[in-house]
Amino acid sequence: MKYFTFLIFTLLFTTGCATKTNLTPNDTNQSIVSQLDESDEFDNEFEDEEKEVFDPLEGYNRWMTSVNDNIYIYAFDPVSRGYAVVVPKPARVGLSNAFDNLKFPIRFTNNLLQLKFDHSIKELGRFMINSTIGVLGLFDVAKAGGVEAYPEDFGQTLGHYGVGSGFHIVLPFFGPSNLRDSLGFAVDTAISPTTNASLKYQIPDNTEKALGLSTLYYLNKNSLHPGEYESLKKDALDVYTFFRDSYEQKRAKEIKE
Amino acid sequence: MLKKLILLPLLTMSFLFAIEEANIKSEMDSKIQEITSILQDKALSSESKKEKISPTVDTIFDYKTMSKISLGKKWKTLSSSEQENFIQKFETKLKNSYFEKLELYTDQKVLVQELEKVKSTRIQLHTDIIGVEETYEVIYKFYKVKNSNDWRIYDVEITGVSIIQTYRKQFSEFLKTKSFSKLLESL
Repeated sequence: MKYFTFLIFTLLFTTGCATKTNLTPNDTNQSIVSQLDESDEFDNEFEDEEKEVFDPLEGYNRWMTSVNDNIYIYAFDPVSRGYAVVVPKPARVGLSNAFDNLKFPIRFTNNLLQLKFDHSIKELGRFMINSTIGVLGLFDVAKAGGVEAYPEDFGQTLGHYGVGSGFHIVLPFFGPSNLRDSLGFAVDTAISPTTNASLKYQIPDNTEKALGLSTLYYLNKNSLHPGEYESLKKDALDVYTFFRDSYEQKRAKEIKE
Repeated sequence: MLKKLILLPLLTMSFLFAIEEANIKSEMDSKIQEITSILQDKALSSESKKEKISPTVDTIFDYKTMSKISLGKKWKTLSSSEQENFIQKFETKLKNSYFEKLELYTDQKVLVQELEKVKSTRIQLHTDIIGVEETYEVIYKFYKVKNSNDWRIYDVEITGVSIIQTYRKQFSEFLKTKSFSKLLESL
């Protein structure tokens, strides 16, 4: 509990810092943008490229990025490619659908917490249809009928209520995250039906089974996205900052939606 | 006569380079379908696909503006030959990267969604790549060329990540410790 209080405290503290640094002169000059010439207009639209990123864990993060990279290249990816040879694609898509269907409580709860009631209702509808007609979620019949999923997680919920990202943290195995999203990830994992936190609806009854299920989930997912990581990596001049900045951009966008 | 002959292709080229506002959606739609059908042609090798797609991509991307934005403040300190050099290298890099991303999603459908006018000089075209298990949003960002009716693409945003923003950050960080010629080398 003490640890948790500490986390919250740090989170709020760093949020304060983050908002402070975000206040560049550009934000206050929006109204006179129209008077500026074309290239100034672009400079206003894009973030100041020389802005320093608050990254106190950079040393550790860089090290973890290369550890994860090695795990991915030499273990995870070869195994998932082998898995893709053995298990036909329709089965892998079905399994991926079933996992996503099981993660319904995360999306439902976080939509509710963000007061997105229409999305919560659609999520509930999707869960009921896909669990029955979609044979335990193997088939995403709701999507075929035009009802898409509304992915929301607790990190997004916190962001929705103005909690800043805090500093960047690269998690072992899971990769880029930040203080806010790590906390969110922990909360989502606790309520996920595929983990074991002794909630009634949770499927695994011990940590080993939960770990196995989680490995299968990521392995299966990766097998449906071959070559993506390698292709992204090629765009980077510096792999760590590339994934860090892409991650933070992506999250900012997801929270805004 | 000779002068005219040289001038003519140049004129048509610059005309092809941009799109008028009313035509953005329809032209982009047909270009994206064209690119998709080339990518899905199993008879072509990866190299020849790239060759065939290249001219179409060139007509919609404004590489010069992209180069300018991605270098930020550094741009103005460069000589014009350095700028030319950079544009060329960056163009190849962008094209290769764009092509490689497209190739990952060859068997997937691209839907052109709505056109959003952000302000008088900016338009965003939202498109969706429908994947096997998820949908990726790709946004093409257009700007209006000063004193004209032409619109050109200055950035592409893939699932919330702006390509040019990302390069801008990467280049700036690289140039903090290394020289511009080193940057050209690593592109």
